[in-house]
Amino acid sequence: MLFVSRRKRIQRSVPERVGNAVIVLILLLFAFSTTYPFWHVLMYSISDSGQAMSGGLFFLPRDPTLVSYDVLFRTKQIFIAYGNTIWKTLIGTVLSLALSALTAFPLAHRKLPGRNLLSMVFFFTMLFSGGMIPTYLVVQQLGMIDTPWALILPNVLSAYNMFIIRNYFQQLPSSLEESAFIDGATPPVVLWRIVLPISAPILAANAMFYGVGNWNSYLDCILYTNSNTLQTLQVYLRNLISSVGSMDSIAGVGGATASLSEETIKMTAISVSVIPVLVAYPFLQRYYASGITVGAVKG
Amino acid sequence: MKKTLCMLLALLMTLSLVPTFATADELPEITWMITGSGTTSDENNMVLQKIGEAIGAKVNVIQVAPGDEDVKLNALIAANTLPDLFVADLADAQQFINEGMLCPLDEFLSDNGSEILAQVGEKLPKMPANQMDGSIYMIPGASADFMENLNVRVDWLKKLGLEMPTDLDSLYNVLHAFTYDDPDGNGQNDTVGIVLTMAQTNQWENLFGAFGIPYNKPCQLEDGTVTSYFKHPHFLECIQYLRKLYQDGVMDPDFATMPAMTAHEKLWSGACGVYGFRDVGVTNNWYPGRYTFECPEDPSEIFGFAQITGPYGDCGSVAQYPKLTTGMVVASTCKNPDAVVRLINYLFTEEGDNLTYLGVEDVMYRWIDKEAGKYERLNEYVDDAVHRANGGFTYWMNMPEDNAQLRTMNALTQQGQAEQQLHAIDYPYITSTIEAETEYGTLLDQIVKEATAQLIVTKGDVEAEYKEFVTRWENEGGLEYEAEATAAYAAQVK
Amino acid sequence: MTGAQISLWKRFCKSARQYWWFYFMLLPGLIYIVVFRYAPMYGITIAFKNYSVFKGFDASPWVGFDNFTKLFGRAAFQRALYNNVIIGVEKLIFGFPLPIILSLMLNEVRKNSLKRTIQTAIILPNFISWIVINGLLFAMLGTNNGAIVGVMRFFGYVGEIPNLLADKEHFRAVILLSYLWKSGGYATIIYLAAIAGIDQSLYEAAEIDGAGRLQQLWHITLSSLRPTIVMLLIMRVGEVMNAGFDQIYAISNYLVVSVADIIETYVYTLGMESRKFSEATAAGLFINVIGLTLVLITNHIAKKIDPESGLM
Repeated sequence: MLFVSRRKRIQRSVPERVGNAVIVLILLLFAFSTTYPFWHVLMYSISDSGQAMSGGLFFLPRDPTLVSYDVLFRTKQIFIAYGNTIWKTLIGTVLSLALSALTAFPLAHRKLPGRNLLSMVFFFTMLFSGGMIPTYLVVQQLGMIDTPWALILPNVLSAYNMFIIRNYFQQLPSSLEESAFIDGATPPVVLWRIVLPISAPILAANAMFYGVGNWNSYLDCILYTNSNTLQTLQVYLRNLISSVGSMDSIAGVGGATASLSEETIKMTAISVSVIPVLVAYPFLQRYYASGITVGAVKG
Repeated sequence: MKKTLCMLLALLMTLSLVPTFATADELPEITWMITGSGTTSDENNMVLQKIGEAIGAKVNVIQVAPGDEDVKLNALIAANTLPDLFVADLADAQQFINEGMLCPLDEFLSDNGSEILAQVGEKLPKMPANQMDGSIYMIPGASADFMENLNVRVDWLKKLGLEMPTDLDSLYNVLHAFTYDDPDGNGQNDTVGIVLTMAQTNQWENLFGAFGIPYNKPCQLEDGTVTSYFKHPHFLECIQYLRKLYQDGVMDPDFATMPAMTAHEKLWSGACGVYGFRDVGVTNNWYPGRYTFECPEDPSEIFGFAQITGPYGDCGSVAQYPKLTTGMVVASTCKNPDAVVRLINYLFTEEGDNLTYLGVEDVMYRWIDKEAGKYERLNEYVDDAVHRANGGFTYWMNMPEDNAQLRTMNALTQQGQAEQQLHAIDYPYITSTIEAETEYGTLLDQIVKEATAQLIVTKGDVEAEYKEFVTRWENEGGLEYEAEATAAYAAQVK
Repeated sequence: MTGAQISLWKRFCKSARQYWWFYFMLLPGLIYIVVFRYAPMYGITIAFKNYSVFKGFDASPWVGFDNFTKLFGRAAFQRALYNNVIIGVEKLIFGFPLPIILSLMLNEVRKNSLKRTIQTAIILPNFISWIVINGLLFAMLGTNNGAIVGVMRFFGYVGEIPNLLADKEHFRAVILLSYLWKSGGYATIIYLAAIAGIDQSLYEAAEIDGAGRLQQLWHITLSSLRPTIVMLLIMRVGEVMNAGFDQIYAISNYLVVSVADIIETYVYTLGMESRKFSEATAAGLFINVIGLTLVLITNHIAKKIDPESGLM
């Protein structure tokens, strides 16, 4: 909170205030343009299908109704799918963060012999991969097909995210670690006690990346699982959309579902999969979106 | 926190293992991969249990949404863990058979496949996949695909005092009136004659058909060459007609960029007067205002079908031939092929067909007049979401020729299909795999589609541009395709 | 041994012990990528084989560079390569600085609640798929009842309004702008985290020295961000040839395919009907070898300028 108080002390000049206003204006315009599509999706999802399809852009719902949400939550499979996605996201993100930080810490140590080579070994996996089938065969040989592990492990470490964490670690004042090492602390202790506590911003940012990746991931569920008990939300929603839109669904002539267009279901599906992310987001955001004081760094 | 998470994970893993142990005892188990329309049914739903009871096996279903089936199947092929029962096309089936990955079905058919043999027994030996080594591997559905109709708003015709169009000129006049004469009488210029979209083939078939061109299919030239419809002698003529529709604003100008769903929405929201699609969709449950008002008892109040005859006397949409190149196959790794054949056989029976299409009788639906194909859904199963969650429609494979879908259609739709079959545009239906087509078929197709879109909108010299596209098509592998297709078709006819 | 030697030896033992700890900490990550990333890499060999998923990897015959010559020889590939380079480079040049600028601007917003709201707003498009965005673009740009046409007609414009989605001359601009708009916000997360990590005492010291805001921005914020920018740039350069399959597949159409077809969409079309893994792998290998080369060059240059920077 040092940050805020510092600003308050200083009287700002007129050009500075004008400049600020311009910046805020530009940002607000951009923010409006990026908010609109989601707003459109949300409004579409709570509009009557017949009204919605007359085209154009949405600012308010047309003939508002919650019938698509009602249809969506009518089957018990969606709760299974939601549950799967939630635990996959929680466990996957925690494991990913732990593994990334553990890997990033030694690689951030400039004097570590072989550091460049090891970095290269990790970086290489960002560009080159063996492809879907060989990866599938590995997962299969590990006996993970149709188990919860297959939803988590195959993508638990992203080299990209790991390098972002490493970069942050590198920028921390080296005096901190060194004094701890001189006191006889081992590297894991230094990571846990000294480095991680002051790395909240980057860990939160990475939790966001991993979390969203896990939440939205789709292909691993299609590939590595067969039974419906492990179905994730994204797969369920995709199935639902195509079952409503299927041209052959002539058996479909009745009830609430029949009054829904594929587009409305699609918009509803997007809404129910994005809203939880938006709810969780501010909790992570506060760690990096405002200037936190790294006073502890000075030790 | 961490502890709880670990416990949670452990618990979930144990739970996932339970079913494997619990059901391993008596009943034979089979796995069945279903693609096509997405399915959202609950595990072990009512319909699936009924199927299991009928065939005396436990059926484990792998459901894959359209668009993902290749990804899934590729992985399963590579790992040699194919599902027991799935659908394959000829090119795949040939490879499977060569690698010994499919199970010959002859003996199981004679033991458990009476219904199959009764309905498609004659077709089986005609299928190329079943001619490879003398064994039967592939079982096709008995019914052919639906024909594409040109659906016309007869309520609009009536309002404007017009007749059902029969040739290209009267069609043009109707489209013009539908666009500019306010057919819906709302005082606004918000309608368009015909909506076409390049995102789908359905819309185009009848227009090309009027020039005798089998849209999106091969065609045979006078000298016997089998080639793409792109090189049909009347192709350019058809393009000129479409150009006129485009320039005069009687077709939707965004035909090249319009997503398929938006095109449907134009029909549903009552903005479009003529729409090329299967009447099965349009008149059976796709009325304009489908989402805003109750469907009328008699759809002929709203829709009729136009048969447009062109300058050379041609008329209709592309012919649908009985499927010979795709069907159900059984993996050689299958432990209970007899149970699988019982399952296929069951899908061919009237009982199995009704069950998979309409659900469990007297629980999910009830016949009002079985002969006339009239039924009603019961209780909460009136709603599609509930119906599907309990397995309704999910496992329907459209196997018998006289199937539940056909029987329950309304009269207008049945009539539309019957009429359309009288005017089919024949084309050389090649049943063998053509290498040039697997090699660059989609690239060639892309050139043709690019050409079609470009030629309709171009402001330049249409003929010169057409020639250029043809040359490009030929050089990109089109000539090879021509040679191969011509030879293959000649051999097939002989 | 002298006292000095002993202390040197002690220090060596200590650092060796430390290094062992470091390597030990790397072990889980290494095992992970060896198992899940390197073990499957034999899959790359199918770029030089005529791979059939039915036969498997071992049984598929070697064909040398056949897949590459087949691929490169086609006119459609050359067109796709050309488009790919243009679209990829455009996206790099305009797309890389955008999040930096946005983050610096956000950092100047004093009101915390406003800052957080804007920051949340600008990451939103990331959660909307390109298919949906295509629907929105059509709703905006369509000629019949698109929003833009509606607005222009409302103001009395009667002339012809081209559908930008079907217009070869402007379609690449549509690709670029929609890309910038969709992805610009997401990367601000990294930069904001890096800015949050800057030691605030630096700003205090600068203010005591009488530095203005622009000077602070230049000397403290940007210079502290430099390692992050350099690292992200190096990684981004490696992806320059990934011109955005999802986007182009969703928003392209037959009227603009000649300016929008990229290598990945081309390969997708090629392999759509048959299981052509070999060609797809060859194309991917081609793209990534270019990416790796560019990364190594950029990394080298970065290290020349500042030995502390660089990825490797």
